[in-house]
Amino acid sequence: MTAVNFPALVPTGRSYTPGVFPEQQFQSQNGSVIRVRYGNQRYSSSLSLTFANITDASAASILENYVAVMGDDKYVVFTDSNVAAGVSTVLVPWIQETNSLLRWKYASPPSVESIKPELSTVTCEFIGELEGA
Amino acid sequence: MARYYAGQDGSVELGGQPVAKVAQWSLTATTDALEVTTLSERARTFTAGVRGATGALTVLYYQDAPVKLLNQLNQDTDADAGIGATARLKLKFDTKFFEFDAVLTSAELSCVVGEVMRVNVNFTMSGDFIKENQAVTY
Repeated sequence: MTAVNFPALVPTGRSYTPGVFPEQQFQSQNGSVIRVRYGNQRYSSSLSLTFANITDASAASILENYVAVMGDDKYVVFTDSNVAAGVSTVLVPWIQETNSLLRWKYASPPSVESIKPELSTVTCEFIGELEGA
Repeated sequence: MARYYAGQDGSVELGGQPVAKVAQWSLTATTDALEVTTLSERARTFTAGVRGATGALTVLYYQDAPVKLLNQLNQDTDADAGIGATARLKLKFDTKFFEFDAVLTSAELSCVVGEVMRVNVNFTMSGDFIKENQAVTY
């Protein structure tokens, strides 16, 4: 898998969840729980981004990034000057997933909402996937 | 010497017909402020959105008015057929004016002891100001 840089756009809204660990949970009738852990790497982290009231040219650059990433075996790379802008340095590795083996892929196609002539609001959903081993 | 305008300079036309006995008109032009603040900024930033305008007229109510505003608002059988639900409104002062299409959105008829009966009409602009006829620089 090769990396594709996300366009130089700073989001107006951002939501991140770190994902879960692969495990099976068994609960007995008395309520006690046993977990069988299948790995020590989290997966399915998610990142939701909103780019409110951006130019149509910027919206098009996101759509082109979607095609470039999902049309081939590639993943998205964020930098601290675009998607991770505005967060403290301690949080940047989480947003970028540089502290894990996860790679950002589009979870769904970007949604483009037209606001007024030449202005759009774009929402993107990303999922962190473990690179195939 | 600078020329100032006063209420005596004002008048109104609706659908090309003068509205007689106008006591007051007002116009408020607005533009939406669309927020474009990004997550790396510490102060809110905005860009201009869609323009619009609303306003109000106060007209003294009397018999045989050339434009029956209440009928016009209701678009009933006594409304002037030549003036549609969306009518051309012209707010004038002296030789200057604002001209635009407007929907009459409400009319309030009040009858008070010691006062002349009057109708307060509110309107909302439909579309933009008609610039080719605009005599006002604003």
